[in-house]
Amino acid sequence: MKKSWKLTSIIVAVVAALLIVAAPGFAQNNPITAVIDRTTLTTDDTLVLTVEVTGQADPPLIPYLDGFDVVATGSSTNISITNGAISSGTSYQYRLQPIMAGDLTIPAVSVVIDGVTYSTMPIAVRVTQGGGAAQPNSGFAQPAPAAGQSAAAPAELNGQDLYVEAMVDNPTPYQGETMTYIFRFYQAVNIGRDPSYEPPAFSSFWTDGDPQQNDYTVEAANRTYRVSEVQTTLAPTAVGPVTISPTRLYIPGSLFEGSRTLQTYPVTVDVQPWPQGAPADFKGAVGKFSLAAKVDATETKVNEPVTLQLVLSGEGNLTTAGDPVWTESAEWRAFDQQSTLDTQKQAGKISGQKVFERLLIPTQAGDLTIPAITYSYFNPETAVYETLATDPIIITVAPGAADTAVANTSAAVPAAPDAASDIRAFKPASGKPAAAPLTNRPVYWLLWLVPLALVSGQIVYGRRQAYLAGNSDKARRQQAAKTARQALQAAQRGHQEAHAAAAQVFNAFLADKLGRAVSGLTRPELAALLQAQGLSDALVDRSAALLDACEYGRYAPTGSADNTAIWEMAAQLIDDLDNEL
Amino acid sequence: MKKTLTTMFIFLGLALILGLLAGRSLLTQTADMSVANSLAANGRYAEAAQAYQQLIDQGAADSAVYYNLGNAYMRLGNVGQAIVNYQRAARLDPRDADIQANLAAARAQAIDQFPAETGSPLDNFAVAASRVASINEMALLALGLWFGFGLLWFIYRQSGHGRKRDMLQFGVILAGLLVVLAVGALGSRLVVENGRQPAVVVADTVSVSAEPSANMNTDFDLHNGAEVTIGELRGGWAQVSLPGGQVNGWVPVEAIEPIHPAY
Repeated sequence: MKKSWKLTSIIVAVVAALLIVAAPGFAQNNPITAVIDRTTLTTDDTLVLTVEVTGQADPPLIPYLDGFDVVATGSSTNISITNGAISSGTSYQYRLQPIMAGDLTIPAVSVVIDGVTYSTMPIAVRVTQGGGAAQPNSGFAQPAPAAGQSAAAPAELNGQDLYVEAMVDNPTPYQGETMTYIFRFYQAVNIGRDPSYEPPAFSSFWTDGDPQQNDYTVEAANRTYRVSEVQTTLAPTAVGPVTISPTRLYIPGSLFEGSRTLQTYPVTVDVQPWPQGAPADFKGAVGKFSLAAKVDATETKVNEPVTLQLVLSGEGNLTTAGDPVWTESAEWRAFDQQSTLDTQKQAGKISGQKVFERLLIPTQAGDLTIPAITYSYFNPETAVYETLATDPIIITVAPGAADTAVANTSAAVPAAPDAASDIRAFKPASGKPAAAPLTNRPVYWLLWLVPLALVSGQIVYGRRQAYLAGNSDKARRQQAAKTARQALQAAQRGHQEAHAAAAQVFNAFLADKLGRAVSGLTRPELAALLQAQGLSDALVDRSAALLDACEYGRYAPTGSADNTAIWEMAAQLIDDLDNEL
Repeated sequence: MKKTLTTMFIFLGLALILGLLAGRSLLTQTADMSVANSLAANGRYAEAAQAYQQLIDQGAADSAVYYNLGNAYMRLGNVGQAIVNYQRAARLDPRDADIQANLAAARAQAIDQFPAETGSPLDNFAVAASRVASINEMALLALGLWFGFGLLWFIYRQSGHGRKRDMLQFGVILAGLLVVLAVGALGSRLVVENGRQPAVVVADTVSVSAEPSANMNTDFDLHNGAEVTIGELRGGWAQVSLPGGQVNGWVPVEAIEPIHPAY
């Protein structure tokens, strides 16, 4: 046990010795170091960040210093000769002023030497509130006094010369509910310069983009503060905790003092979602509203327009109030709505009216009804959805104005007072072909093939006729079946004796096909001739059978059924032989 | 003779089919047009433009609809859309003096004025042809001449010898030459129109960048009514060139409207 303890002690000692030896070497290998002259300061103080770079290198890369302003920079070069070796280095100084209190971090500073990036370690700095910046407050607004009046100062003011704060009038708004973000700048001394106001981005909020400024005074600790208050109307577009980033106030420097930046604390609001069960026509209107509908005429004619106005008025964010859900009807041809907004802002509250205007054209005569229109909104005071509805409107529509409109259109178009006054008048329908080019239609190009096919066909037909005229045997052979069928049909129509006619047609067909007369041949001679043409025995036998049947029938007349059988037998055999010969 | 008559009937039948093909698109929906015109007459230009656009979307558009839509946009102060629709109307009815007058008036209102473009001989021929006849008129003329050539050829081949055949031979040659001319004019116009895609800036102002990216620096700005030619399309961006093709850059496609709707 003792031995083991000894061995462990030796290993630990060796490792410690190695670390002690290696650590300076590691430090010496990193050519960049960063130090600060203090790690704790107030927002009224400054610190100096010194970055030393050994060797030839470009200036170090200073990262974004969140929470600090760089108020001054400088650099110096050092050259030293040690044991005959010359080394050089550059020292860069940055004077930093914190612009907010808290535990801040100066990120790693980097330098690139011969393509290799070397970095320092991040440095932690603790910043406490100084005499000229914001203190945490409740984040909720106190009402501003009336113009010219003095108001109570916040406890955090604490006798400071300059002070900024930010708050909202409603820390738990509903989504879409209007609220006011208030920024106040207190100054007990005359700074003599115009500060620059840098508002937050107001991410996740709708804002009207028209902040209102109000100046007044407050008394605190026997000092009179001039207060500049900026109110910005917001409406949250997201739900849950949403943080509004700090507002900054930049005070430019002068001959006697440097520039300063004052910054408020962030403000967090807890946005409540709309409750479940929203009506189908709820389109995001939040506030308290009323609804009215009116038309510009209660009597009109078919195809003459009527303008329907839907007026939504009240207090709330009318800008983001959604469009109404229109009820479509076949009796009316409706056009896209247009909306106009007329709002006022008082004490951070938006009120006014939004007018949705829609053009309706009656498509038929009679007493037509514009259906009732409903509009739902969410009332944040009662936390319930409320639905407004208009009454149906009856319009008396007289028949037919379309023809009149066409006839009078050109003359009726008023002379426009604008730049378009010199254009020529509107036209009635021209009745000319529609826009789609014929060349885009495949059938158009297919029609081009028709003359081509006819001309080509005629050329081919003419050449074929000429060829056949010079080869009568071949022509007769090719036309044999067609000729035979036509002859059979003619004999049938002429009520000729079936057997004699069939035998005559069949012999003529064979003569055309074989190029010689066959009527004088005996059955064996005919069979040999057909077999010599490569016909099957079956076809040869069928040919002989047909001739035998015809010969028999000629001398032993039979009934009409047998005649029909002969016609069909001959026709079928001619077709079969035509395929083989 | 019988064959010749049969062939003539075939040709007449096909011509009738062709006529119906074109005539089917002649539906004009006069009532809807009158409603749109009534809206314009009452100064409701936005609704009138919507009504004209509905007519076009329904396929019942003719040159008058495009012309009236251009007028509505002129009244609304949208010179770019006015030029687009006057151009479309002129394409359908190039000899209409009202269309040409209002197109010139709209162009005069455009902020960006460029010198007249000097194109290639093919371009100039196509432009000249486009001022004489619409693309459909040229297409019908070329096809009609082709049918006439085919018919004359057929009759010529069926005819015997003599003076009549000589006259038919002359007719065939003449018809052939006319077919070549008509097809040449139609082909050059199709080649030019398919090769160039004219467009008009319809945004109030659009920044032209060297690359199709919103992060690129702006080379210059174009304003509503500027007439450009579309080159390449890439990911929601269109490469456009100014008249003459010397200067080009990229703009978002929604900032421009092609003259040819099918593009």
